[in-house]
Amino acid sequence: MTEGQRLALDQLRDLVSAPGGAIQLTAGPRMANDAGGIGAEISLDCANTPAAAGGVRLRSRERFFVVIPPRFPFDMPAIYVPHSRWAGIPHVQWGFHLCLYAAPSVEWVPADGMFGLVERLTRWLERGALDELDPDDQPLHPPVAYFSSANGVMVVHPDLGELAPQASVFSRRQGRQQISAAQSQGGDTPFRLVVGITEARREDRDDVVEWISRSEWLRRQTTGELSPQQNRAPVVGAIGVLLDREMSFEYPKRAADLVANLEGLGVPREELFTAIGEVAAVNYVLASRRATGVSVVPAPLHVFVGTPSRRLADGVIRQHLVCWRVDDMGRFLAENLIFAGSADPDWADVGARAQSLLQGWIANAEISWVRVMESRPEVTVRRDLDSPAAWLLGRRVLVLGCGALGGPIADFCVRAGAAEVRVVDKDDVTPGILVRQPYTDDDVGLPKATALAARLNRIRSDNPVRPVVGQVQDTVLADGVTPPDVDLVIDATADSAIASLLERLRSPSRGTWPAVLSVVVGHHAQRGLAVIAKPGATGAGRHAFRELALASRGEYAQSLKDVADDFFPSEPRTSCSTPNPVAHRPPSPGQPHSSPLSRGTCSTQAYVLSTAADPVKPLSPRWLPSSDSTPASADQFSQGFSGWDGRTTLSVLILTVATRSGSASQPWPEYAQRCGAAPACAAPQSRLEAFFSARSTTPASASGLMTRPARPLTASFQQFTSITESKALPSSSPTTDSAAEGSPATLGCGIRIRMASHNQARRTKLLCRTS
Amino acid sequence: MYVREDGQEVLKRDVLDLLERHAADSAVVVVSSASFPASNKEGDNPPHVIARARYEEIAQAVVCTSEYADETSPHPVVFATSEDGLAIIAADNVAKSAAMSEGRGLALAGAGMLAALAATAILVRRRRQVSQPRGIEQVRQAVTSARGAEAAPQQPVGFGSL
Repeated sequence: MTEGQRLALDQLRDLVSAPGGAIQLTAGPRMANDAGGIGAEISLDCANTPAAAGGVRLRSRERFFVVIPPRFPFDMPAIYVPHSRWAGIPHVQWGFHLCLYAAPSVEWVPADGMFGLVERLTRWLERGALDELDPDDQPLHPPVAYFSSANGVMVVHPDLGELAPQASVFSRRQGRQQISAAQSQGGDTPFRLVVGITEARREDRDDVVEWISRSEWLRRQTTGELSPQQNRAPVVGAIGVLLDREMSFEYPKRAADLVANLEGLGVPREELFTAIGEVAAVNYVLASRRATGVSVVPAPLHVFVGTPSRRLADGVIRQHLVCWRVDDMGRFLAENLIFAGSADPDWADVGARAQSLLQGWIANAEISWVRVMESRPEVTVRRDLDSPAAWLLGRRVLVLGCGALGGPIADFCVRAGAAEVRVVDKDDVTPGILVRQPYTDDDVGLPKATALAARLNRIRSDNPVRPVVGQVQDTVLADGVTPPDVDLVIDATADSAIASLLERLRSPSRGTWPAVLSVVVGHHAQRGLAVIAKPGATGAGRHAFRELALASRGEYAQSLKDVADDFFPSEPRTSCSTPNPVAHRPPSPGQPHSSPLSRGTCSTQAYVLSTAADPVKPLSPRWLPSSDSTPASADQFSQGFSGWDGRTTLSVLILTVATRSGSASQPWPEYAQRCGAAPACAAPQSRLEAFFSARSTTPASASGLMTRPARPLTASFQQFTSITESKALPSSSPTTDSAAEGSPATLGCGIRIRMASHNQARRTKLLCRTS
Repeated sequence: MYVREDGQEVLKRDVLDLLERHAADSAVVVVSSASFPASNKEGDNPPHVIARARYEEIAQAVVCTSEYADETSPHPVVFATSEDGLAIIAADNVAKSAAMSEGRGLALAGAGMLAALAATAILVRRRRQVSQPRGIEQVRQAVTSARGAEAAPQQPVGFGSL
C-alpha cells in the first residue's frame, strides 16, 4: 500500500467516523486489481432523495466500490456500483462504472482527496435521481462504443448537416414518449442511410471528407465521377446509418445485437444490408481500378451509426457518430450482395449465397469499434474562437519573410485557419539559422519559403500555404501599383527597405490596401513590436515605430523605459551573432547589423526560458496614449480587422501600435472612454504630414531614429518632450492639412513630406504586455 | 447477517446477495420488530441499526412495523396486488386505494381491513416524526465534518503523512 493509499483510507475513516452513520465502510480495504489499486466498499445514506421519472432510482442506502490507485491523490479514484441496476443510464459505463467527472484534469482536486470525491458523488446521485445529469443547457454525454486502438482511427471532417434526420429526442429527460409522439405527428423519417467518402490516408487512419446520399454515391459511380484516389489516398465509401433517436448509452459488442437494435428503431434489415452491399461493391470496383497487378486489395468496410447525442451551446442536437470496422468476411459477403436477383443465374446464385451466409455471419460476428475523431464544425468548437486570432479564420495572408519572425507567424496563421498563406523569402536555409528559425537540418540548402510551406502544409490537409521564392520587391510587390490581393500583409522581414517600400506603395492607394502588420523584436529578443496599420491609415510600420520610439523617450519615458532601452541603447550594440561565415545581410543605414531593432542575437525561445524564472517582468498590459492617432479597439477592428493575437509574438513583450486617423481632437480621458466605440474614420493624407510636423524642429533626429546612437538623439527627445507638452493647443487649432505652412523634408524612408504645425487630432494606442 | 468472529462483527454478504438476487425491483423488507434505536451499543438486542442499513441497500424500502407510519402510533402496513405484483401502498394513497377497492368490489381483506386502511389514512395526515435526519445531505455534512474546521490551525502543521 502506498502512502497515497494510506492517506485515502485515513480520509475515508474520517468520513465514516462522522456522527449519524451517513457514510459507512462496509467492506475492505483490500487489493482491487493488478495495478495495485486498493478497494473499499462504502455505503451512503440516500434516503428521501428527490426523484423524477427517468432518473436514477435510488434506494435508501446505496453501496459503492471505491478503487484507490497507487498514485492517489495525483491519480483519481474510480467508483463502481456492485449491481447492474443503473446499466444504460448516461454516465454509467460498462453498467457499473460511474462517470463522475467530465474533465478530471480540472475538476478533480487532489488536495481535497476522498472528501471531494464523496461530495462529487453526492451531487451525481442527486442530479441522477432527478434525471439532470444532462441538463438542457449543457453538452450531452454521448453514448459509448468501446473501441480498440488496433482498429485504427476514423477522422470525420465534414458536417452531416441536412443529411441527418431531425432529432426526435429533444431531451433525454423527456424520454421516449416524445419519440412516439413526434413520429405519430408525422415527424421526420426515423433514419437515413448516407455514404461517407473517406480517404485511406494511412493503414490505420481513414478520413471522411464528404457525406453524400446513397443515390449520389451510385450516380458518381455510374458516371465515372468517383475517383479511386484523391489527394494520393485511396477513396473508400463508408455507410452511415443516421437515427433520429438514441439507441442506448453503451453500444453492443455483437453484430446481431446491433442489427436487432437498429431494426427495433425502424431500420429495416433488408434495406440496411442493401445499402451496405452497394457501398461494398463500389469499394471493390474502386479497389480494382487502383490495382496495379492481378490481385485486388479491397479497403476495409466501415459502418457508421449516428444518433442525436451531441449538443453544443446553441442547444441544437446533432449526430454523434460511432464507427464499426467490418471484418474481412463481412466485407467479402457484402461485396457480393448486389448480385442477388441478377438476371444472370450464376451471378444471382452468388448473390443468394452471399445473402444466406451473411445472416450466419451476422449472428456470430463481433463488432470492432473504431475510434472516431471528430473534426466536424457542427459538433466541435475551435479553441481560438473567442480570441482575436479568430479573425484569421478564412482570411488570406501574405507573410513577407520566413525567418525567426515570419516562420512562427505563418505557422500560427495556418493553425488559426487562414484560407491562404503566401510565404515569401529570397534566402535559403543555412546551418546557422537553425538556432532560432523553424527549420531542420534536412531543410539546409532549400529555399526557406519552400521548406516552410512544405512543413506548414502538413498541418492541414487542404494545403493552404503557397511559397514564393525571391525578393519581395521582385515578386509579390513587383507590380508596384496593385495592392496585394490578400486580407493581411505581414512584414516580418525586419528589413527597413521593405518597410519603406510598403509605406511608399501604400501611400497613393492606402484606402484599398489590406491591413499591414509589421513585426520586429529587440536586440536581445526580449521585447517585440507589432504595428498594425488598418486600411486607410496614413502610415504603416515605419511610421508607427518612429512614433513609439519617440514616445518611449518623451511623455511615456517611465512606462516605456524598457522599450527605450532597446530603441536607444546607452552603449552602441557591439555584440552580434554570426550565423554564417559572412553576415547574411550587410549593415545598411536602415538596419545596421547591430541595430537595436535588428533580429537580435537571442532567440525568442531563449527569452521564454529566461523569463520563466524572472518574477519581476511586468505581466499586465499597459495602455498608453500618444499624441496622434486614435485607438483601435476590437470593436473598431471588427469590420475589417478584429485585433491582433499574441500568437504572433510568442512570449515576448508585445507592443501594439494601432494607428488610426481622422477623428476629431479629443483629450486623453475621453479617448480612454471611447476605446470600445470609436467610429471608423477616414484617413486624410495630411495626417502623416501632421505627425511629422510635430517633430519639425528635429527633422534630423526623426529621420535617424533607428540608426543614430543614443547620445545625439537625447537632445532631440528633449525637444520632442517639449513639443508634446505643447499639446494644450485649442481643439479648434488647425488639425492637419497645412501644406502651406510646412516645408518639405525628406525622411530616410524616401517619402517626401511637408512640415506643418503640430496637431493633436490623432492618437496612438500602445499596448505593452508580457505573457 | 452479522456474525461475531474473533471478536469482530462480520457481515455475511453472501446472505444479502442471495436475498437481493431473488428480490423484485420494488422489493420491501418488513421488519416486525420494535423501533430502531438511533444507534446501538455493544450487547444490544435487535433491532440493530446496522442491519437496517444493509437491508436498505438491497431493497427498495425497509418498513419497521413499530415505526409505520408514525413511531408513536404504529398502524398496519398496507400491501396490494396489481398487474405489477405486490406493492406497498404509499401512505398518502391508502384512503384512495381503499375507496377504489371498495367501489370495485375488490375487498382486500374484509371489513376489518378496510377499517384499518381508513385509520391509517387518517394517521398519515399527521406529519411523521423523523427521529434522525436521513439522506444525502447527511452525507454532505459528514464530508464537511471530516474536512475539519475552516479556521487556521493554532499550531504549525507540516505536510501530513505524505
